[in-house]
Amino acid sequence: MSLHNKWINLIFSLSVIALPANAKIVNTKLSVFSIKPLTCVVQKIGDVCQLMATVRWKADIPASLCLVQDETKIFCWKNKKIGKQIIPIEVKSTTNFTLIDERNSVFASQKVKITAIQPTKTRRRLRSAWSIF
Amino acid sequence: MKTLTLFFILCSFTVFAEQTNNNTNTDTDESLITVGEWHFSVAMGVGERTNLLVGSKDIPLYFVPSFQYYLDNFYFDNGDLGYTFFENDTFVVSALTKANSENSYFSRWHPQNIFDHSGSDVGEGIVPPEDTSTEQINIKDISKRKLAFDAGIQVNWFASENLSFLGQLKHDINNVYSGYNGNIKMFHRYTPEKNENLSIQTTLGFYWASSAMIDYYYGLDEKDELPRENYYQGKSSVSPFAKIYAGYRLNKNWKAFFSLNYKHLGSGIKDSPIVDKNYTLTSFIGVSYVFAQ
Repeated sequence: MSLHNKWINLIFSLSVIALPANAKIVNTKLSVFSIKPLTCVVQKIGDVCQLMATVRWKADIPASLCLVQDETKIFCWKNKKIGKQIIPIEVKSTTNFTLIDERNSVFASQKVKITAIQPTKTRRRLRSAWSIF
Repeated sequence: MKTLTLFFILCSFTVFAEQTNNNTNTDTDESLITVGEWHFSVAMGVGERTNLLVGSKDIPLYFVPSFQYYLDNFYFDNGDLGYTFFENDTFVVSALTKANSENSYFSRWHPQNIFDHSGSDVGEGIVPPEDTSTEQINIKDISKRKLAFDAGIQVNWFASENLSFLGQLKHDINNVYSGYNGNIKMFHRYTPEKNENLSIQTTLGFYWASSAMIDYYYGLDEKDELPRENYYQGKSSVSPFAKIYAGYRLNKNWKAFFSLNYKHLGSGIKDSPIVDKNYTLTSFIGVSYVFAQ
């Protein structure tokens, strides 16, 4: 390998390292990806959280991307450099959202967390502590 | 010697706890339990349970597990398997089933004796020949007392944050003694405001058993193949008891505690020729470790 090629490889490697850890470049470069809110508050664990999520992304060239919740595509954009959409979503537990292209390559991912007002349910114990003694 | 060893163990744990006490959880309330999570603790220390059978050795306690699992209605708590069908702010009414504890004096394999490491049989004594008119009774020679499973109803009355009452009435469900037993307990908990790691719990109550149950376990008749002068007809019996428990939380998982439980045997039990005590005493001092909290 020539010295010239080595320099090209090095520059390419550094550019990948400099990207956010959860973003992957295929052909398109993604500079922005966000889902808000990041946390959904429910009364108790197990309750379904319904929210209007604002999804934003920005790419350097037009791209066709889809937002995926778990395994399901919930919204797609065709040949866009900027994507901004308010999407109604339902989550029951902390859920991973990913942005994929037509070849199912994952560009970025973001978790939406669930927080409960009553994180644990308790009831009164019907025997006293160490009642076996 | 055992007590001295334990004292040093407790001192060591106290020093350890003082050093690592940044994480002390004073919010932990043992009267409340998280639904849907298992709770497992182990007590390690020195203790003893009186064996009321004539000439029998007391039952040593070194290592005692405690397991609870509660759902919205269903619960398992140290051998009690129950289902709560009514609950409001003050009262909880449940149906429950559990192994009858009376058999634990007769059988090494009763669930209550699983952690008896003495290596001896539980009821292995003989009646000393004090009265020459009475034949010696070897507990091993009397007919086998079977393990009974009881089922019945339990009512918990939470009168205040620190005062509660419990009532149980049960009947055996596997036709072992065909009778009833029950108990009523008053339970009080005291936690000093200035030291929430300390908890002192007192329990007062009485245990009642029908004549059928007492006669099955403590009565003697032709099935025991003994001379007629040893025959005994068990009578319905009421045994009052008092218990004190004091625990000191060392950190999130460790607690040092002692427990003393005195039960005065009702005459229906203590008059039996195979019983040579008029009380049982269960004592324990040690530490407990909570695996999940």
